Amino acid sequence: MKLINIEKSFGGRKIIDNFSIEINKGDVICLTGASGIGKTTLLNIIMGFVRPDSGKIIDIPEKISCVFQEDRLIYGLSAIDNIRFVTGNNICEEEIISYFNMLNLTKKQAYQKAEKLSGGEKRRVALMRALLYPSELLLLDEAFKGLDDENKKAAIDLTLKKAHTIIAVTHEKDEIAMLSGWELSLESQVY
Amino acid sequence: MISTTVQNKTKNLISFAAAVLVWQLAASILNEPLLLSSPIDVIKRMATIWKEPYFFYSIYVSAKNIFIGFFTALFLAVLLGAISARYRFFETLLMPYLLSMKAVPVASFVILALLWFKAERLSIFISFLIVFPVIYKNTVEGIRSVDIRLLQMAKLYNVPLKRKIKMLYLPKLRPYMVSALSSSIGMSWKAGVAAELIARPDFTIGQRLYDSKVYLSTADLFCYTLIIILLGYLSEKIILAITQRLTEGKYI
Repeated sequence: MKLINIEKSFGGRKIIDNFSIEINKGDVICLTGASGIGKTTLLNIIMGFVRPDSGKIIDIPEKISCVFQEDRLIYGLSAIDNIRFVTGNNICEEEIISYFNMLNLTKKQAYQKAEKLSGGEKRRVALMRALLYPSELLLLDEAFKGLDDENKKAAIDLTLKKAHTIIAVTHEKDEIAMLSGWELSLESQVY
Repeated sequence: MISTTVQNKTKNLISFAAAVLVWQLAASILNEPLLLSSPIDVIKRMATIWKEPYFFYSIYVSAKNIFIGFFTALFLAVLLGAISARYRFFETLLMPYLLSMKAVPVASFVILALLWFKAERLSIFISFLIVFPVIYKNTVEGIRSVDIRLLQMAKLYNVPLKRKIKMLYLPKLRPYMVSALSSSIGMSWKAGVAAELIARPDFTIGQRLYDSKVYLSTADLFCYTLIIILLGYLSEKIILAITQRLTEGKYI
């Protein structure tokens, strides 16, 4: 996938200025930079939710999955139904439960309504939803925020096992190290 | 929690019993069954009224017509409400009709409908007219209340429309539909029977209410009023139970 000369402004303020990058299969890119610098906007442009003012994206993957900054879980549904909302019948219930266990979540929690889960549990369910969707590109927008060290390690291990091409927005040095990705700071505006 | 429910039910029962007592006292003091039948008279009449010819058939005809109007309105209001929620121009296009339905007095529609339809069809039309705007408005609001960020998520993951409707839209629509149906079922019964009273088609509850006026039978009037309340209450319970079941948020 190539992003060529991407530019985006909001309210007269240029957020992304002439950004270009080539992402190859298997790349793990960690986007860093201060808040409001355009990291999430860039992910939204890749997903097609925000249209860039200029520039183009070529060879965009057909299937993209994402752990959004907010969990974006359907609160009326159980945790497992939130997963099945995107996977359908492609993955059986037992297999989904095994992924819950891999992320230190119990079978009981799988059948709990999403709104009853704690912040960290919701984050892991959102991550699982993204990982179980058969995508070619995984976008992570502060996906591991709020997880303790043990759960963060389990989450990153599973992420690296399930996804190959990743763009992760993060502020944490330890996450960049654990993801073994190359850091791309939007702060410097040097790409 | 349970004790509070029991307490509330007891309070309701006591207030209901007190109201019946006041009714009985008022009827005894007035002592004029033509003006006000006593609860005892009504109970006595209720014990015999069902034996009259065409009693059940009249209830069947009224219920059939009111339900045809109600379910046609429900189907069209949900369909058009869903389209309006998606396309603003369509909502604008429907606005004059909706405003007319809400603003024009039912009596004016009744007169007009008497010119357009046969007497038997009037309650269908009036029931439709009363129910449609309430359900339409709630459908539009319910669909628009779905979080745009969840819709983006569903779009990213290519979630099929059927699953989106069942797992995302219907659970969100549930409180809106419950509120709309609760208020409109009773209204459709009241307006439908009122329409029958005016048009007086044969073998309907409305015609029997008219007969009670002609024959100065206040007990009959009270009996049929209670029957209408009971039918409205039962239909509300059944339709709401079905709605709750259909809009349950779970995987399909």
